[in-house]
Amino acid sequence: MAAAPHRTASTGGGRARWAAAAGGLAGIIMVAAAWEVSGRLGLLGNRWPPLSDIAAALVEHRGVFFRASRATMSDALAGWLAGLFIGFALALTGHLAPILRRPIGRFATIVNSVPWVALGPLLVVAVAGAQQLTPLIFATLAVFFAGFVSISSGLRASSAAHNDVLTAMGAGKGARLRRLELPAALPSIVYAAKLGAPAAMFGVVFGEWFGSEPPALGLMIANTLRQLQTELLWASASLTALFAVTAFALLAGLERAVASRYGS
Amino acid sequence: MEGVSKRFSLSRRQSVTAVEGIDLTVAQGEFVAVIGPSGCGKSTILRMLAGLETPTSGRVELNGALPAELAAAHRLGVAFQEHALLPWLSAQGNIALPFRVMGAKPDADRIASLIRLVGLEGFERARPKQLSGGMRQRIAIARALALEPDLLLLDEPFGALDAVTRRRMNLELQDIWAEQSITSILVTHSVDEAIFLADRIVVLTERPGRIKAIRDVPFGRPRRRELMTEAGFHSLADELTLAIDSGEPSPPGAGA
Repeated sequence: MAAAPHRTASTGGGRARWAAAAGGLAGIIMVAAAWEVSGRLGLLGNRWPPLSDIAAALVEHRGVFFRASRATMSDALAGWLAGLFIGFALALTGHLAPILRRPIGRFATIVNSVPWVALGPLLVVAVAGAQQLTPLIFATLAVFFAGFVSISSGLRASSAAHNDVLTAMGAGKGARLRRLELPAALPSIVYAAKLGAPAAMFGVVFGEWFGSEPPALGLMIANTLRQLQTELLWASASLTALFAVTAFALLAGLERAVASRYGS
Repeated sequence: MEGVSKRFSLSRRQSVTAVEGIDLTVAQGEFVAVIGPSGCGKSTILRMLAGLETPTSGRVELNGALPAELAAAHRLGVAFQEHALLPWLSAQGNIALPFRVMGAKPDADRIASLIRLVGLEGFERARPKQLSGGMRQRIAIARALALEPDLLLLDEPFGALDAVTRRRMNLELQDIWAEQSITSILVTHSVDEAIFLADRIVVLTERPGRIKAIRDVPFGRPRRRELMTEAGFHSLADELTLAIDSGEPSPPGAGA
């Protein structure tokens, strides 16, 4: 009986989503066109190349960009996973051992507020071989805190009524966690993953400024900036942004799917 | 329940007494309904029986054990007004939940028979969101019955349903109960529902809730829909309604 209105609502939602996507596409085309024209005419100065020149630079140096992207993306992926895992582990520990909740929260906050500009050179100088790890470490740092905060609140998101029913069923801590709290926290975990994707990209690129071998996207941004290779700078930056936005969009899709199943 | 009272503190200086001096003994296999004006602490009594609240004074014992002990032994079945089904599980999965919480493999035959019992064949795989309010409540009741509990606690299980569905659910519950005779305690504000389902009806006063009257329901089982049109049913309903209503005038602000 109640299925009918839901079905209509979802088709309506589907149509609205297509309309929004079409609108978004139109917006992108307009921005791209404006970019191309203003670049060609030099309206915004000679550091603002037309889009086609950037694309040409990407194609011309595709081998370099491919290796750079691969290095950046593998660090970003590893840092993203590590950050989410650490955030989840901290949140779960605080959840299961409430006495540790405050110390863990303080610790996470302090780690999160260390200024990266100071931390980067310190890591490179203090830890042997850290240069290779710096991008990964910054990606992890960029992801874990938002993950910790989001997952902590997700683990407390189960409703009082659900908790009452499980108490009356005689659920222990383990059964409650497995049957209620973890599934109820799933939307927050996916949300943390979504927020973490561009954050991991940012962390990696920042870490790569301190050097990377082979030259990854972050180092390319730093170097081309210094050498005033405008097209290559734009190409590196655009590629970075494209990866971040794509990962975000994919995870946003996953988030919607999870929310419709696991949200109440 | 012996001399049970429950006080909730609202702030450091203020507190409110929900129920006071409740003495009640329920026999094995008996169906008792608790009725009373809204805010009289009916639900508080049920929550104490479910081990979700502890009495401020007095004792609650179920077969010589504390409610929390009975809950921990997986011997309680509860269904509340909010169906509290897990949205990510199917109808079947929700009914299987008590088995999983207990750490046992769900008994497929038992679950299939419960689905039949509450008339949800064909909806085994549907999730709560895809079902109507009445269907969700039936799943919640099937879930409460899953482990053949020693005590079934029902807190306004049909309170959120429309009158027609509610009456139908009462008939179904009566049939289910006639088959299994599980010791049951039902909290409701519907006098008709209480008479139709219960062996004994406890009437509470306004807050703080005290037992005002206990009435035996004289009708045999199984009970049919026609019972609700009989004169005896109506006179008992009138008597109980009057008993609920004729309290001392309520103190100001004692609503809800």
